[in-house]
Amino acid sequence: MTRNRLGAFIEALVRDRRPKSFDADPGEAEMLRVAIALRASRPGAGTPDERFVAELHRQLADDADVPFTAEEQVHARAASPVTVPSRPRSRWSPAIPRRVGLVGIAAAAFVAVGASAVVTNAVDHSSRATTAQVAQSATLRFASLRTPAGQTVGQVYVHQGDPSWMFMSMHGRYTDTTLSCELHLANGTTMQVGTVQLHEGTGQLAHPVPLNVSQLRRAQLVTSTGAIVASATFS
Amino acid sequence: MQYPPTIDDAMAPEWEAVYRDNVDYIYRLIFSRVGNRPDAEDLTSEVFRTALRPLRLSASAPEIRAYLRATARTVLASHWRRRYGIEVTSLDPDMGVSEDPQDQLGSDAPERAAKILARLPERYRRILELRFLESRSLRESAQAMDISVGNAKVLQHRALRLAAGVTEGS
Repeated sequence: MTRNRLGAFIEALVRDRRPKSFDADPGEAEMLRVAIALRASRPGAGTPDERFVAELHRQLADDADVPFTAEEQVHARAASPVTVPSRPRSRWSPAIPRRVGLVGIAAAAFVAVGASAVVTNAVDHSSRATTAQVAQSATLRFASLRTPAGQTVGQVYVHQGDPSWMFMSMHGRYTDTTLSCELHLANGTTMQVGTVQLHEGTGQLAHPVPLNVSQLRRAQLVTSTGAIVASATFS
Repeated sequence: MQYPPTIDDAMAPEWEAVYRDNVDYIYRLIFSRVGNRPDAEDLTSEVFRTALRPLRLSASAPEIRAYLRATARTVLASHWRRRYGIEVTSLDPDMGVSEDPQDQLGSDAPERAAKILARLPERYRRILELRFLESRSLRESAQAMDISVGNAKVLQHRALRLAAGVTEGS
């Protein structure tokens, strides 16, 4: 049985077809992993088909209900207010403040991990999809990331889920370096949750966090010597 | 220490630019973890459909790419759980995200494959090369190795099993 379904999986890979589903045990998973690694290593194997790229672009444009760019819409409305139907502002319009943008990113990440989130006033409610996807019951916590001098240099979002997730974004005039992220919990324990690579002053971290986010009191970024570069306090 | 102002809205990219700057990267990343075009296309579509809807384009390019990568990681994990009940491959959450065009490959597959093959006996290595790298059928592979189709099938299975054991222990 094992050999048959593995053989079918391999045949599908070699023919560039979609393999059939089956419940794989850990040993089979390891063999599938090897097969995928070998198959994906062929020169040019990972190049997307131009027709796929074009078709997905068209579908995304249709999904957005934006047949042309936001700027073109403005021009079209100005030139022909009678014939151009009124519609909400494009949800992909670029004219949105940075802070709102980051909240959107965090909300999207939480949607992406299969979780739901209550997103407050920072979400662009002209986005029907956003509202529909995130307006479910769960916990989303936010805190600004500040330097010891009190200057805001980023944001931290944590979302209660299975698993819980954290998204951190930082921007400032720092040299390229690596900072460690620490989470401080209400019971006094400290948890290390990965690193942030700063490149030209900017860095991000998206990471699952095995905790109840209501227990989170502070997130902070520290250097290799333990110096605190920035921290975010959750009320 | 001084900090730059927030990103000027006028500099914010259009969603088309976000898509075109990242579609190759995301596709290659996913292909390296599923190994076939139909699944890679479906999952790439899922990443962009999930990610672009709530995305605010005033974020920086690295922020957007990090977010797309985080979405891809989740989409991939869901794919494996749904189809095989176990996470066969994954994306490293700690892997850095670069804007360098050279990093567009988004795949370390050639390096991993070379390591796997280098540690196998000649006949095992050959059957896997014929099947996975040269896309030969079992019959063609058997002919190339001057063995029966049945033997080629057995050899392929044993080679994969040994390779899996090799990677497991490394």
